[in-house]
Amino acid sequence: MTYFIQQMLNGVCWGSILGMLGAGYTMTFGIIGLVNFAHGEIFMAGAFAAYFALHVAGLPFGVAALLGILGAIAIGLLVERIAFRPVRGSGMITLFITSFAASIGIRTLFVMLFTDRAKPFSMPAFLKGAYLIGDLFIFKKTIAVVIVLVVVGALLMYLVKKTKTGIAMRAMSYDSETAQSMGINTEKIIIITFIIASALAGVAAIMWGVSYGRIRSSMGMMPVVDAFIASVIGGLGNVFGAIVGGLILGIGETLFVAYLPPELIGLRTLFVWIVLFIIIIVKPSGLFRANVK
Amino acid sequence: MSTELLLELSGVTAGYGKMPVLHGVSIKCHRGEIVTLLGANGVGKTTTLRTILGQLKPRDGEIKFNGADITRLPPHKTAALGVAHSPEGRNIFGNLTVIENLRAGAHLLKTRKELKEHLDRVYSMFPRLKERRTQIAGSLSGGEQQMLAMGRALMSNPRLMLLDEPSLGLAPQLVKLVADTLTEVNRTGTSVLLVEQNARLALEISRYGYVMEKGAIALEGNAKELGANEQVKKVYLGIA
Amino acid sequence: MRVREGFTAVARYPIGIGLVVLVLFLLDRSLPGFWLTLFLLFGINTILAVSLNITNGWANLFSIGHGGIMLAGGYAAALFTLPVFFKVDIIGLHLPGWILNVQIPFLPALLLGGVVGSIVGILLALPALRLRGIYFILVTLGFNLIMVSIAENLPNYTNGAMGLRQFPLYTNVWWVWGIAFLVIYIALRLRKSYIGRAFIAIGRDQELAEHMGINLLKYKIYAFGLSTFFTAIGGILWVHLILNLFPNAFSLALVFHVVTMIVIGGMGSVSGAVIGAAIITGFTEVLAPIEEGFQVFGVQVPHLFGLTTLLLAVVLILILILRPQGIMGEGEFSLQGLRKRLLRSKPG
Repeated sequence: MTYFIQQMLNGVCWGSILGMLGAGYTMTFGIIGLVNFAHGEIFMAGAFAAYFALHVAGLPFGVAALLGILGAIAIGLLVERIAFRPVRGSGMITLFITSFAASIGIRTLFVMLFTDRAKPFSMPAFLKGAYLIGDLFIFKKTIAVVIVLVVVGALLMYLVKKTKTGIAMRAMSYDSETAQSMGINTEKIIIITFIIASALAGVAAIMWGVSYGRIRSSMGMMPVVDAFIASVIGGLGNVFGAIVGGLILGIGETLFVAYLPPELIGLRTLFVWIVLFIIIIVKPSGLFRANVK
Repeated sequence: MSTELLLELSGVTAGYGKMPVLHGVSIKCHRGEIVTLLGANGVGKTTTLRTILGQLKPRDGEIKFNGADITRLPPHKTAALGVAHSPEGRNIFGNLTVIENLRAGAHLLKTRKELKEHLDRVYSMFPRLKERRTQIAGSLSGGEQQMLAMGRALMSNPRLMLLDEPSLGLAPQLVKLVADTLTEVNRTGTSVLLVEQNARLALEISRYGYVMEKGAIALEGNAKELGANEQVKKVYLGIA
Repeated sequence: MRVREGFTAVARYPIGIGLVVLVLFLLDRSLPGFWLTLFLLFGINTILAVSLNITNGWANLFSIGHGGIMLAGGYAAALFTLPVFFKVDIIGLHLPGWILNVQIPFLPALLLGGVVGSIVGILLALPALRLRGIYFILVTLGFNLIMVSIAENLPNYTNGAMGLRQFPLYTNVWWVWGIAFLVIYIALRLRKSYIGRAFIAIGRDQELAEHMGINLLKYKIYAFGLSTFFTAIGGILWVHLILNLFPNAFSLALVFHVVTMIVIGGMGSVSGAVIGAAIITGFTEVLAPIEEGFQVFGVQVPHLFGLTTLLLAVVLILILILRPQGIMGEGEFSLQGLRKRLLRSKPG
């Protein structure tokens, strides 16, 4: 029983990271209609920016975290400028190929420059250690990650539901042409969406670094698929849904691996595809209301 | 009533593919007027509105709004000048609630005070919308969606409202509501360019009218004169 | 003698075939090792590109899972072509005797691998084709990742991530280019036939094709079955050339290279696929030594692994921005077309 709860906690930690990634992903997917494969690399770039600030420049954790988020935003805007804006309106396949190319290109560049070896990511002293309740370890970092998820998630929900920009975003994801005739500047909204989505990826990167203590150039490759699936589970363009979707995937995957016989550990990647398969067959529009027509 | 020119299209030619849909269309709308654009299905009435808005760029000709050239202006900039749109088929945002739709329409407003004032005005014109304000717009009836589309267009207190087939598919009482709303809105200073299949209704509330055929203006004149015109009576009013 | 569409003309005339055979013979004899390998890689890439074009180009079923297909076909063939002592003594696979204790020649291995690849491809297609748009692409991506994962995680059957070695060097000019010409010929003939035109119709406008009476599912499965058959064969030829099989060589980077070939050449064009294969092969092999690191003016440039893939990513994005239809668009190379273009550029 303790094992189960322990794994649940690990799952909540992983799920929070996926939820953050999924939330950003579903924003670009929902609002701009873009399957952004490079989201994983934006995530990775944020981690690396924070890593350099922490370990090379020796800056304090708070500053490094901020720089990580800014780094993610910078790469996100670069990707938008180079791989998306020039081919806007070109059809889904073309947009997919450019985002695929951007993803592979950035990843390969980082592997080339920094190798794919794991780099250490140290966490600040106040997050080290755990609370012991009976046989259960409740890591401080897990608590921190969950708090960040809840706080950032709440801010995001407020933005999306209550603010003028949020309403404009959701209107645009449903019908971009009509939104324009209300005076909504869709180009500006696209940039804002990219900034927010990339910032969320940056937050997820810091969460990852704190939780696992290691980063590497290829760290974005698998999570981006998880983020996509979390978006599908949650309903396209639905930020709350994506967060819930991420938690479901994270907890599910962790429990799956926890109870898998050791020789089959490598098959963990199978889990998310099984979930995707189920969702697409049973409820393709997702668990919550999608924001697309 | 001032006769200042608000909207002017001169020789506008526009289209989607190789063949243009509009051929040298010229329309004038003065401040405080309701002008109607009549014609059968497919003659280019909706295309005209889309070209004014900027969703379609004309190949030839000029569009002026309040003296400013808006021929090549993108839609959100045209909207910012005071042009609002209630599209054919309503196009309400089905994923948002009624009040969120209205707030979307108020995107250009600067202050909360304005937002509240305009919201109250729209609610008083369409009490049903106030009742259903937290309901998801996609679940409204056809008539309610039309009210929402019009209300949304009015949120920005536009100088000019472009309406596309507002009476389509509506029960008679709702058609009357639309007509009354338009008249009221016009009285308070908003000009209207109305595209309508229901020619009788349109000519009743408009001051001036244009009849389109095959992408060009075939006939124009005072609403009363048009209503008395034999051709118009036969083809559009169904009076032999 | 009328000049007809470039390639089929050659195939129809015995003189043409004889010439091609002679050229191949001379190349086989005279090319030094590096150039011969390059020529063989070009041929293998041609096979991969032309077969990918059938699904991704013609039928507009954008699959990125062919790495997984090559793994399936590759293992199916390799487990039979590898020498017995390797399978039993050196890596100790836990497979039934009738696999471990045989070593078969190339042709049956190719056919076996091709058929296995085709079956796996159809098994992938059946559920995947129910999905539209981006979900389809996503499932093929998942398929590729899962296949690599399975290969790496079942060491008793596949030797895991350590892969297979000690392959007999079966691949040569005749196998590669014989099959390449065959694939090109089949593709060009298909293009004119009902089946090929059905593929293209499905690719252009699915609903319209359905109204015209084309059974969508049937033809999509045909397209997949055919494409994956030759993709698997391409993979088997490659493995028996480089003499090893590592699962992670079949991951997304490989998929990406082939996609780049058909995009550069023009999705929907067979000759485009050939041209794209040529360009990418040349590009990759030219950059390979640079990736290792080199000396210029006494300065040591360190190794830059992945430079090829990176540059290809840049090139791909540029092509999609500047000339999305690729070099050939959807058309084919023809001698008449070439003559017209040359005549047009003359002054006067």
